[in-house]
Amino acid sequence: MNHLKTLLGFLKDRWLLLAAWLILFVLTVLVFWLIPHSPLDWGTVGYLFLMQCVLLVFFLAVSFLAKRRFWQKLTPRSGENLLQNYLQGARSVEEERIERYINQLISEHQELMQQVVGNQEEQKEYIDSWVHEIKVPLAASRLLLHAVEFDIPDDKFILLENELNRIDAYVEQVLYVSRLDSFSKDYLVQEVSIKSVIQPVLRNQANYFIQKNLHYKVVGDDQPILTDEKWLSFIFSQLVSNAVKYTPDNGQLTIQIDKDPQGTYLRLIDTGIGIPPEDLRRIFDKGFTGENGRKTDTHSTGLGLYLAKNLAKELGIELTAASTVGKGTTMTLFFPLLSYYEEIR
Amino acid sequence: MAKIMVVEDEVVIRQLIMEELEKWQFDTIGTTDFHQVGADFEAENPQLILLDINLPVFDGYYWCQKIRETSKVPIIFISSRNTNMDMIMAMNMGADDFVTKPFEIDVLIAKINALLRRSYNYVESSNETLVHNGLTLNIDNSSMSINDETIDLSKNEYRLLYILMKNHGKILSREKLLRALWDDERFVDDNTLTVNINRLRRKIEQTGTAGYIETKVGQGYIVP
Repeated sequence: MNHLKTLLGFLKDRWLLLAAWLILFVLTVLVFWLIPHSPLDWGTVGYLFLMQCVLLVFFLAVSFLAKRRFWQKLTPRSGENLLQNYLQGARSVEEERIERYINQLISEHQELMQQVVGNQEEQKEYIDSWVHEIKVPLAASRLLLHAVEFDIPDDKFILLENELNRIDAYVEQVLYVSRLDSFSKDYLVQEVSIKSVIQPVLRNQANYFIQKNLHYKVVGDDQPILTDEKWLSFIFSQLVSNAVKYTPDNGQLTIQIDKDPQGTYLRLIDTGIGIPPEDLRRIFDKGFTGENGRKTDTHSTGLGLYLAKNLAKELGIELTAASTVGKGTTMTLFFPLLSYYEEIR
Repeated sequence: MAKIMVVEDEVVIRQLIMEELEKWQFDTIGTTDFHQVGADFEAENPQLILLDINLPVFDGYYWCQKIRETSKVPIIFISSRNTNMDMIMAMNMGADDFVTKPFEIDVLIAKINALLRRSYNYVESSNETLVHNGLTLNIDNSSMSINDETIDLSKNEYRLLYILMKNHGKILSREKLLRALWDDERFVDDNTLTVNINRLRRKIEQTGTAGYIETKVGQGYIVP
């Protein structure tokens, strides 16, 4: 089928040649026929035609085989990286031209790619070093703030501390975004206790809890899990900061730790404004802010949950959301139990 | 008191850490010449070192290794580098702990104290107390002594009295006191704060001293 198609394509490209041949043949016959007392009869014409046909077919076959060889080089095979294999083995002038053109395309593309990758690498390094640089004045500001803690009015102190916390959180986010695709280079899976991860996160956001009078409680026994502590605490802090943001004053936050044969669950249940069902599917999409994010004074970037979801995936944690508008949202982190059975699979 | 060496090239941070440490009665030495951190260490022989990673001349890892060749002094790294790789490397070089910038000074102090206790078998100077206006707060067994009576305090009462006495003469807002009462398991609310303040007052009044803690309406509490 495929060969037939190739053949038909080949003949189609040669239609001018075929037409010319036919015209020449007719012309030859005509000229001979016009000669007086011409010895031409149908038998001779048929014989001539047949002979020419055989020769034509032979010629076409040879040229088809040569063409097909080149065409095969131009046909992409599945799983082959077209931009890395230079063409070679052109025989005719036309083939050589095509070959030279394509090879130049490939080499220009490679050069460009190298440049782009290099730039990106440079940019990433710059961001990394920028984050480290900015942390020094940030650390100094924090120490300064602490030094004057009881010399300035309390409300100003807390406002300033909140602003510093926000700068800090944004800086962290930058770092995690730039590290997301080089994740494999920076993780350390260990046995950690869930509570030792969640407690510092809650403590870090203590100001918000106190200001909004959000009552939280931790339910369930502490469980050991196998994961990377730093990344998990970043994921959890994104969830907590969302819960705090979208829960009105005097609300309730429950952190629930459960365990069943499949694994360990860490649930964050808030009594916030909830997520509309049409938004729920998309809250983990990059840049999605939804109805809640568009409300004023929340400063939603649509990045937090996207990062949380992706990092969780990298760590083999399942992050899911359930919500009822007006009642609240439950975020669940599921840590599947690693069984030997699965490892063998 | 223990002598602590602060190896940090950011002047502001170094100064502030040293000031804070001095408030906690530590002796401090700040490094200014980063060519001879090792020599400074030999000369001063501190009980603990705070070490930054990014330093001029040689980095913190280098000095950590250098110091470890001759000494087992506790070393805490303080750095803005926070990849696991950095932490593992620091620990492998012989560091005892790792604090990432920006950090809470209280956390750093707590780590220093814990490390000193562990390394030198400090019986944390058992006479550690806060004294103000005739009331003595015993830090190691969370009790208070007043008018020749010693009264045990609950964890929350102790925390409140501690922060109020430490900042005596200043009004502490309810927010700040709630921060001091922060509990990892459940939210400590306004009522708990009021209840604890009242209990604390009653305990002090029972010994015959009235008005030790004053209420500033709309602002907070103060130990004058």
